[in-house]
Amino acid sequence: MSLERAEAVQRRVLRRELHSSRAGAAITVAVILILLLAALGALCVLLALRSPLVSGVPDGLQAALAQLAGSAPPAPAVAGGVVAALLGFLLVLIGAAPGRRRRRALPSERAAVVADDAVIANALAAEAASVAGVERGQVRVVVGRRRATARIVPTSGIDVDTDAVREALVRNAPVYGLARPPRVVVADEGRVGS
Amino acid sequence: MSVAAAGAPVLPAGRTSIRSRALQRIATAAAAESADVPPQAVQARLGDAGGRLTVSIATPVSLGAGTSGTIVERAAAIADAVSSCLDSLAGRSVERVHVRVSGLQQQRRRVR
Repeated sequence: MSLERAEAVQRRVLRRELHSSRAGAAITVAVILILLLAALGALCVLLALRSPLVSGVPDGLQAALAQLAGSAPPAPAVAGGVVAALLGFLLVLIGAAPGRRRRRALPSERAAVVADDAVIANALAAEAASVAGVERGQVRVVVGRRRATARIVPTSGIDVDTDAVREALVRNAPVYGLARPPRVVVADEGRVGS
Repeated sequence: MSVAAAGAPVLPAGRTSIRSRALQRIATAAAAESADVPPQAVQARLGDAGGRLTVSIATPVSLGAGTSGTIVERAAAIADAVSSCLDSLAGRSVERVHVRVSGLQQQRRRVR
């Protein structure tokens, strides 16, 4: 396999891992469309045969419109319309949303590497706890799309070296695929034992 | 095993943590010793004020031979003992110590 080909595969794999699949929605829509079109086809055949099953259906578009005019639309039609509108809105949302998963690609020369944000948060929290000299449970890290925030509850009577923690996390930020340096917040209230 | 650089002692990896129960015992023992009363008579509570350690002590003080100073002075000495003990033993800087003198005791008889 040539190098360009390998890189293309890698890009494709990363994209597939980082974005959620739309296959489910696409299949659902296709199945619904197939059913609707089949029903329409069946109706056409029955009308052409002048079957007694469709005797109530008015003959031609003009007659149908005349029947609808002057009367409120029937309740089932309204409900169907609302459902169709909601469904359409949902599909537009699914189609337009980026569909990113909570994970990110890590820089690597050799392979496509993907890590869940929770894993990165864990690694940052362990690093922050060890530099700050607090228990792992006193650090809480939230990883956003572009930036992580570490919240540290200090141990009462021991100062947390905020700058050292920040420096350690900033040093690691590129490794973890974070675009911006992590934020470090030290809580006002400490915890008595550690 | 890595070889330590000459002269510099290498600390083993790991962390030391001190539970609040241990801190509370340190405060109790320091106060009891300074007040010259048994530790069971001392109540110590630890708290936090803006990330600093606060201690409140309720203890009787003993009066008798070998003790000196007013009760206020004794209380100040207790506060100082608690604060310096927590600092030297556990490395906790203490923001403030409240001492409540809950009673007076005869000095303990020392049995030899």
